[in-house]
Amino acid sequence: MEHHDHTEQLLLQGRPDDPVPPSGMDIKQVMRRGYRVQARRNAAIGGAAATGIAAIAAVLALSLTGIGDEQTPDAARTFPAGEGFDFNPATAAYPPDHPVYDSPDPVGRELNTAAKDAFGDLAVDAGIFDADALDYEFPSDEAALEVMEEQGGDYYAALSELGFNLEQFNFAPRAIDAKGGQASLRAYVALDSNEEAENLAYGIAGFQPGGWTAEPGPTGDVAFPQHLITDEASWTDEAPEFATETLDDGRILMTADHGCALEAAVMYPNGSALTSWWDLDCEGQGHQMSLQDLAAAMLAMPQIDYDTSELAPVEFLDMQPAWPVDESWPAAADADAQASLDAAVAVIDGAFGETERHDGGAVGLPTGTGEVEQRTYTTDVTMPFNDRLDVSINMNVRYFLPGGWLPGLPPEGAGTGPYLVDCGAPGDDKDDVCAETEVDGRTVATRTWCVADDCSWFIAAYDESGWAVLIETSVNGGQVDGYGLEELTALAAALPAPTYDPAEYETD
Amino acid sequence: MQSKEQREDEFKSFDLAHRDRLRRYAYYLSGDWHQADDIVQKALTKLFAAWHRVEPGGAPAYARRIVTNVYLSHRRLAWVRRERATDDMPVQRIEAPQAEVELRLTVAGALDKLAARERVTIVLRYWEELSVDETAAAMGCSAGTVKSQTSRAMGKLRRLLAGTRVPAGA
Repeated sequence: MEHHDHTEQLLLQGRPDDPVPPSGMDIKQVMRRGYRVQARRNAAIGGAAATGIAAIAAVLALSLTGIGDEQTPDAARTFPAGEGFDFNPATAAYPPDHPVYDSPDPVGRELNTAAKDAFGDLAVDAGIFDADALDYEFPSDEAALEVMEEQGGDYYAALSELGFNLEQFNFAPRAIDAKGGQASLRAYVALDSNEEAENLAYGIAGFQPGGWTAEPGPTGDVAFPQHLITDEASWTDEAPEFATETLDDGRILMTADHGCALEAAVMYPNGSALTSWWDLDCEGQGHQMSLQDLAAAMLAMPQIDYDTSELAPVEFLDMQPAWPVDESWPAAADADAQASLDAAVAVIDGAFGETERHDGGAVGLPTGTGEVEQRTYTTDVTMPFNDRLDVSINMNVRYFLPGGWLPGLPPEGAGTGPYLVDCGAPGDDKDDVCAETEVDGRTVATRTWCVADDCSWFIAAYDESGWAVLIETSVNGGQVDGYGLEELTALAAALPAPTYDPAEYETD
Repeated sequence: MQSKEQREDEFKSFDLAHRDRLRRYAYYLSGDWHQADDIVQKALTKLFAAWHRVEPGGAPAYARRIVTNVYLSHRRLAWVRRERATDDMPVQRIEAPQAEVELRLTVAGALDKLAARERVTIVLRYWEELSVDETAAAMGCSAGTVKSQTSRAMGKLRRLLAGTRVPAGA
């Protein structure tokens, strides 16, 4: 049969259907490489997300104002407070979704250009990179628009396509989770682009107004409003020499000297901020930089006029806080986790026949910027039957202990945030059906997502005592008798309570 | 943060459940199993490095996004571009019983003529059967961009595949 315009049909029929060949990939080698990648990025994860540091307040024996005036190219610059807000920006935040830039972003250009001027020589003098690393021009709007037109993607994808992501001081916008993902802070972050280096040398972040306080304190999604710089120990076991100075022009400069690393923050009168960290010698890199020079560079940066149109006061749902990351918890909870998962698998076996249980145990799932985590017990099981494509069916079972999540489905139009089941946003054109029901006294939230004959189910059952269990599974090629939404919902509602000490998880 | 052992166990479970699907996606993009394996190996490495930050249930989508990015990075490499530089696709007539195989070759050739992001868009929408929003999430762009890119790519494919017949029995 021939159609007048059968391009879609040709595409669908032209999809390769050759079987997936055996893979010789060594997952252990992949993980070893992953550790090396992570090691290079460790500084970024800790620093870029929130730019944190450490404790005691000391007095910086420098005239920081003088340094700034001396080195600022335009000493006549002013830092207007702007129109301000009708609300307290510290307790306001942005929607959780990430902004998309469908046109050139002047803020990104201004930050990139200013940072190259302010920090370029500082980094070269510190030995972080050679001067020729600064021999680049920021891509023109015309070039970016041409790429966007030709290849699609947003402005920052176009900058990446043009290779700008390989240059130093390439800022990109980021949404930073607040209150477990119920809202976000917004920042532009630039990280050392030298991926060959064992450790990233620096991170610079321009924070938009909203969701943070100028007070130093534990960084990341630990508190709201969030702190951008802390005076507690972080880079080393010792608290840094920490100093704060309010300048005549209204800016506030904070610095933290950790010995092997430096950090600084500038809060501007318009409610925005700039933070940076520099890992100079914590891993024996041998870079050198003075606190005075860093302070001068920070003060040479302009105040940025960010788009705050989406900043609004937020009313957060009452949620038991997530747990501070505790590396010792998984081992301490392992016996409880194994007992819980064994009991769950026994129920699954009773429902579907004897499954194959894979590894698993207690796992802390970091949320937000990684300072807090949800406590979970998780494992995978393989069903004793295959789907209609004769592919094995796997199920992930994950218990969530109290803290760091909310029961039920997210509000329409919201992202997943702290909810356990993601039901997509309005306008989704996929066959994505979500429902919330009561089964045997437990609330059960379900998401069914089918594309053609392939279906996935995400089913969370919430117990009134405060724990939840989430099962996730999928089948391809059509329904499998006795293994569908109804049966899986019943299973989730019937899974036994996990083993844990409720008293430990009680909150006021 | 979970222990090293538990983190590795969790990642191995993910790999067990999802590797082949990612390899097939990478194959759809690259048209070559060796390249696909290279892409997936790099993507899994990046995924493992970020494993502690991956939200529950979000790992498959996150992995697909990384595979997309790695593929796009590969396409920026000159040797890949050279390898893929060919003349315009000839119009083909498809006849059974080799029709299906030849159609796949024809479609693969036409996809090779698209810009990298156009190809990703088409593969995600038509072969991975993702929604507009999911495609946007996998590509890090807006839903509007996906729609416009799909429209543009389909226009090119319409020209490239003009004269190609749907095999009998379709």
